[in-house]
Amino acid sequence: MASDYYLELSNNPIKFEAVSQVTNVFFDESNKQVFAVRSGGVTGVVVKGPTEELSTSFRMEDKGPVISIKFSQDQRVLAIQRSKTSVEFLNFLNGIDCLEYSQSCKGKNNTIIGFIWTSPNEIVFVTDHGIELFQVIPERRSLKPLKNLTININWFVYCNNSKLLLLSSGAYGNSIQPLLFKKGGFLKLNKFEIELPAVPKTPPKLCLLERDVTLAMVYGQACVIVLRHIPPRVDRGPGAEVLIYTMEKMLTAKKSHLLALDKTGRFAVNVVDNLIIVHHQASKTSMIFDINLPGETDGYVTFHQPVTIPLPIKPFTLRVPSVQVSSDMAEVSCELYSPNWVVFQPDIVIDAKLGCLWRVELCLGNLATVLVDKCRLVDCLVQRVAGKLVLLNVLRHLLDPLIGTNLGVVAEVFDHLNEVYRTFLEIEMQSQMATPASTSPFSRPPSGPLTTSPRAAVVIDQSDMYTSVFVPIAEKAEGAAGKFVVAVLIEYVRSLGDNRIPVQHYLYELLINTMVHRKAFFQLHQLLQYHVVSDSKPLVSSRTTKPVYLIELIQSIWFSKPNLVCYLIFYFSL
Amino acid sequence: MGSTSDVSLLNLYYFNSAYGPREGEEEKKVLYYYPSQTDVETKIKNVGLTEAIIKFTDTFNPSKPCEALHTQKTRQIIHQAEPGFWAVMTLLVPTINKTKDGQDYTEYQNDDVNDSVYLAVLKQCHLMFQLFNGNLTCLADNPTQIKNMLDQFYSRFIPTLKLQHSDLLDIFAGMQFLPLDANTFLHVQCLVNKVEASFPTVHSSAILFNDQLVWSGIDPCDMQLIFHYLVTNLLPNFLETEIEPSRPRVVGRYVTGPATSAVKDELSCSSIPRLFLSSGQNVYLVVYKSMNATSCLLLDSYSTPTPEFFRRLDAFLGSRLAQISEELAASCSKSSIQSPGSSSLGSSLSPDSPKFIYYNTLNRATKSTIHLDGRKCGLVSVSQELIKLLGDVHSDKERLKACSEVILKTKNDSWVAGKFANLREFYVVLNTKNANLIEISDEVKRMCDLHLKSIFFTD
Repeated sequence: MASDYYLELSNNPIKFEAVSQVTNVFFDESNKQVFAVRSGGVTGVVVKGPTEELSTSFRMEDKGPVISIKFSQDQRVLAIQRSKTSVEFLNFLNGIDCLEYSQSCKGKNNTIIGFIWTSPNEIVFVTDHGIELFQVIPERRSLKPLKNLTININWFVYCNNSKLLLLSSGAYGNSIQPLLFKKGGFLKLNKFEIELPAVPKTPPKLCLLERDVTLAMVYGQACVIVLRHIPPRVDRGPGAEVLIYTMEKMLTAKKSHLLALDKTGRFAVNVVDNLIIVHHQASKTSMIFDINLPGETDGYVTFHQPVTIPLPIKPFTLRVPSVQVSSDMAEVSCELYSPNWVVFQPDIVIDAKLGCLWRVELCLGNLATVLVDKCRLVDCLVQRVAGKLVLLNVLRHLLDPLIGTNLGVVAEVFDHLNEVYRTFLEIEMQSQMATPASTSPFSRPPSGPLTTSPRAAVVIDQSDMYTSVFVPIAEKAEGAAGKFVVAVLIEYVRSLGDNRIPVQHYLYELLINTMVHRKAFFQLHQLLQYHVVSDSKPLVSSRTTKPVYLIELIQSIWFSKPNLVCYLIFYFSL
Repeated sequence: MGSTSDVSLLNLYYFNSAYGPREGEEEKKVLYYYPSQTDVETKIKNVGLTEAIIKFTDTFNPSKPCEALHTQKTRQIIHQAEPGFWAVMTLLVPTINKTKDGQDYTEYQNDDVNDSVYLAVLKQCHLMFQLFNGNLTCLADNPTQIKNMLDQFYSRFIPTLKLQHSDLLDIFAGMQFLPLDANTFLHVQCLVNKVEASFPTVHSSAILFNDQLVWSGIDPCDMQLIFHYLVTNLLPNFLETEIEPSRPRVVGRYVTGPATSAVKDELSCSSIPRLFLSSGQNVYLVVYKSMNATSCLLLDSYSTPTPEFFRRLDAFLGSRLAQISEELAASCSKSSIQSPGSSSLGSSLSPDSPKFIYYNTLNRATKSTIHLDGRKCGLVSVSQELIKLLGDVHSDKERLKACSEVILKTKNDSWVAGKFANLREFYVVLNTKNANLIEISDEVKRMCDLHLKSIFFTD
């Protein structure tokens, strides 16, 4: 069955030399670069990035085992950590510069846990006793200290999109200090504590681990995604869960969402197109969560169930040179959810043994067939970047007269779509009013109005509905199906009206034509009588049927709706 | 001035000459006779007389059979209900007892009885009979059954005839539509669509709010009859049972069909009225009421609706209809505040303010500020004389062109105007003292603009 999955791995994985006794592999989340370091760099370092510009290879001296290796964002300086107390730098101004320069951390007893490039020429060292920010000056082969902060640190998580660094401190590791990096410095945001499912009494030990915390941008907000493993001592709880803290206005973290996993074991988190994806290794399935979908709430925290049933990722086959015949390529299916998988943000899966880096991608078309609740499906698709075509397909299927979807569902779906449509129109109107006539129409005001729900990725307007949905279904409208089509059209006009969106004339035309085909003249008259079908400039086309009732109808609206009369006259060639 | 009597029913009978062609079989011709206790001799004599009149007048104008027979004390209305089947209604003309020169005598008010009004009443009677029983022609082989059916129907229907209150509105037999804004109307429409989609046995349906029609998907000919049955008969009777304080408050209740509490009962479900539509279809009429909104559903009669159906329908419709009812009430109160005419005309209840009746042949919509409700209870805001005059104006319309206007002045300085155009009729009653024709004509035009903006137009 085609719909056995809704996630797949990118078609062209980045391939790199697999981990072995001589090769170490590193991944830099900020630049999305894989480093395969052979024999400490002597026999070569191969860098594979998402683009050609970000891929390179070079050799360097073996000065001991590499702990971490990362390029600066402009690819001009390479930072290599080989010891607990210092980081070495290599300039890549015009090809590799063999002269390394080094920077040790300040405190004598400090140990460097890691380092991060926070801007093209700024690097931060995270040590167990604090952080140190330096400016790298490649021309002088030296670093200039900019700012530091003393704090006991267990581990850290950094997100390059938000420039947000989370520092774990305290005995349990759940006391989090967020820092927001700006050029030349950083801001200390309000400290917060992540709730622990159970705190051991004595002795205190680290309960919140780095691997359980993910920092990602979801719907334009930085979110701290925390996996919580309910200890087995607790009576058969709901299994593991995911707790989400959102950084409100980039100042304070607020506990906002709880995702129920209903499973235990090893999990990994990705974020794809604002959907939170939780991979579960034991069951070899993934769950998707959309924190924008409505869920039960206690006023502070919204509880979410998975958008739909957990399903495995689409099987992936890798083409490798055949062992027997050198010219042939053999297809090898990759083990999914393998223990060798390492997951990075936002959407990266690496199999270090296989030497593959994939991006996790959504198959929205399959999601549409798996997700039964059509309102949730529409709500979900509206927020997806590539949702429009899929959504139109879903609507066409949903409104197919032969399927005969419950009109209550249709009404709800329309209301959801048009709410998004109205919000879009409102923002559009505000931006038009805010932009003076003299400025270029392309320049948008810097910040849109603060809306509670994120701006939808997909807006289905009236003309989309007309051309891609209503016209195709109206063509199928024969006999009893016509009644359904009329009901659907009226429901749509009703929904537009409820959202105070003016209805375009072509929808009325379609409605009138469908009603005339059904010979529902009495009903049509009632619509006219209640001014549901408003008078508008019509399109002119021709037909040959001349129902007598129409002539009377035209007489009755001769003066009140002149444009409509013209339309009817031309349409039916009266 | 002495005592007066209103117009009243003397007799009402059906006959078909084909059932008793030979001498001595005259009794067989009579299919129904009211009052039933009338002796056979009188029945046969009256039927025979009517037959003779029909035959006699036929020689003068075969294309249009005789419709009315005027005598000093009675008025006979004759209507060929179906080919060969004649319905006849005889009325006693209203009287006034007067004293002249110390001697009592009775004056018969022949002019007060309008033929077209009562012909319309008689026709309506038979249409109503057809709605519940189907065509007589189909049962022509079985006179006994015809007799039974007529007897059953009229024994219940005659007491509801309010002949003394019959007027112009009976001629139109129109429906009062509820004025609404487009969005509220669409909500109603969407509810109707949902019901019809969720319950495929629902053939078509209509929604009423109080006594006014909001939406109808039923053929207008049938809707007109069903509307009158609901408004003048079913709903007022139901209202009386609803007022009983002992009943528990529920969201919605079946007016026809099972009482909500007794849905389980198989028997109660089988007592649903069956209707014969003009298309020849046979349907069940299920009426469900929630607050002031009434949903009138016609069910296909292939199978008897089950208790399960009624339970599901009740669950589906109860709260939804109540919600629509609230919305309609809100919309009505809003529109009555915003109505531009209400202030300039003053209270429409005051006897001197202008009154009107409007009828649209096209959708059978009527609107009247003369009648205070649609239930034919004689609650009117102008004098009986003026209402009768309106009927006469309508009768005169036949002789006028399609687009015309009539203005009359009564002895007591009231004005009556009728405007006909574009398949619509508009009647106005004005109580303007010392006015001239131009002023009245202007006033009528003004009222047209005010009340029927974008609906009614002349010239």
